[in-house]
Amino acid sequence: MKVHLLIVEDDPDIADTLAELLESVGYDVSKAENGRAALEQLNKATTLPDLILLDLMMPVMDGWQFRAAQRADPRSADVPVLLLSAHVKAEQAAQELGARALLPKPVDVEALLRAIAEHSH
Amino acid sequence: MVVSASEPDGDAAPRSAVAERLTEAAQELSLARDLPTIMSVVRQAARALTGADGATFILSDGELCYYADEDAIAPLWKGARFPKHACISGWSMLNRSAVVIEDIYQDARVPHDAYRPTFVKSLAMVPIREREPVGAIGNYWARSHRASAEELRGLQTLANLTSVAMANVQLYDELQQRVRECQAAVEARDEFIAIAAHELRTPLTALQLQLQGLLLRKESVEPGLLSERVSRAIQSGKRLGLLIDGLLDVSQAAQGNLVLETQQLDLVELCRNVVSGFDRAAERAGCALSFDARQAVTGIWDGTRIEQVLAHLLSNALKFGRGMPIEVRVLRRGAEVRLEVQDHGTGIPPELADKLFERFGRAGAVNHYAGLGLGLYLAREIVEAHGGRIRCHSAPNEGSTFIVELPLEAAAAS
Repeated sequence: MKVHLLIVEDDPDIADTLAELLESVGYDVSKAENGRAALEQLNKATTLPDLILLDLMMPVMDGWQFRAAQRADPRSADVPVLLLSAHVKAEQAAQELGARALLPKPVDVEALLRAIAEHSH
Repeated sequence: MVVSASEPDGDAAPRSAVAERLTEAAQELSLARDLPTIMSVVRQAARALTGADGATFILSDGELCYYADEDAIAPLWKGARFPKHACISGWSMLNRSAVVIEDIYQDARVPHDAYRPTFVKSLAMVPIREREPVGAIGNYWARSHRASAEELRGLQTLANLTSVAMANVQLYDELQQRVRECQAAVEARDEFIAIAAHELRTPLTALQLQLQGLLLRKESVEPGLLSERVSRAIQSGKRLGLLIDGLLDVSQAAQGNLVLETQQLDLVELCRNVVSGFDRAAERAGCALSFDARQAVTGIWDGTRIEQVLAHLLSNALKFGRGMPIEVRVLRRGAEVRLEVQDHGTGIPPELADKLFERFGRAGAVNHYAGLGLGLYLAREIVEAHGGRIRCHSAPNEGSTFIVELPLEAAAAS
């Protein structure tokens, strides 16, 4: 079964390109444009994604708020998260949010693929 | 040493001592960084110079004389204010002249009632900065004494030194103020750079992903798809360019250099075009986009800039009001035209609503946090350059309405 990734990113160019790229190397990809949309997806999903690629700065509900909600929900709390962010305090955020890894923007695709392989099963 | 032919009175302090005291005062005054220091040096020097029973340091305060400081055998008028026309220091300042009075009670210029409670019988007064007096230095004696030419010269010299010291203190204060302003400007600039760097990373990320993606799959991409992917990378590059232009705009606007290129146009037509340009994006976002305008509204504005404002408001509405309708309205209101963009999304807490249009600081951080960047700041600069106003009505979960009010003729012509 294909590994399923959820991309939570508000910039459509980044989200679309990332999705296409990851699909072309064999992943199943879904997208959410902000934290709230991502939570809705998780709630409705019959099977949870194997890994979440999370942006921090998003309107409506940002990465911090999403992660807090995700961790508070026993059903989705264990889905691992990779942080993809240009935020100046991204490293600190990665620690605080319990992300498995931080991929600073602009994203190095090789590093991203390695991190995804490492943290998804 | 110069010997004067006649000295009116034999009580003057020895000449070399006067010179010494002036030199001392000059040195102390050259180090003074504030007015209180000047005053404490001068009140003592003024008295020591002549051996007088008292000395006062008087400051000009509009129509009044302010007896700022004194050094005397008994209290004089420290802290008091008198109208210039009613006191001798005022006379000295108004007439830009030194004055020597041997018996104050024989001189009509002296307010005798003010002097009666004091020890004063004689006085000498010199203005500080004769060209345009900023104060005066007074010397007082408890006995009848006519100040000598030399005593007067000494006081004048002291007054001149004081004038220079006061000018220095003022310059120093201004310098400190400038330095503070420069530091604030540098901090603001650094903050701006940090925000700009963050903003620029987004289109750069898209561009890099597209290019890296191409490299990853170079063996397997058909030419048709390759062109499409390269085109998208070029688009991302353009977006980066537009963003850079936007940042430069913000920087120029902040320096007051936003220049409008106005022309006569129909605002309704302009807005309708911008709105239809957003049709596809609105569809993708699930937003029913509508445009309402009863009739054409012609006037003089910078069309490109107004398009920029509307486009920005629309893209924000799409971000915050996904899946909900967005209404754009243009109405003529007397000598003004009103442009409204309303979304039915998450809304903005009232305490943040008026901070939306600021450049940064906490407000900017809020905008930044919401992914809005500096666009609203620029929108406000553009609108205000036209002589208009922009504001936001919003409440959490009730959506937001951005209202732009413009005069029919832009305030700033090209």
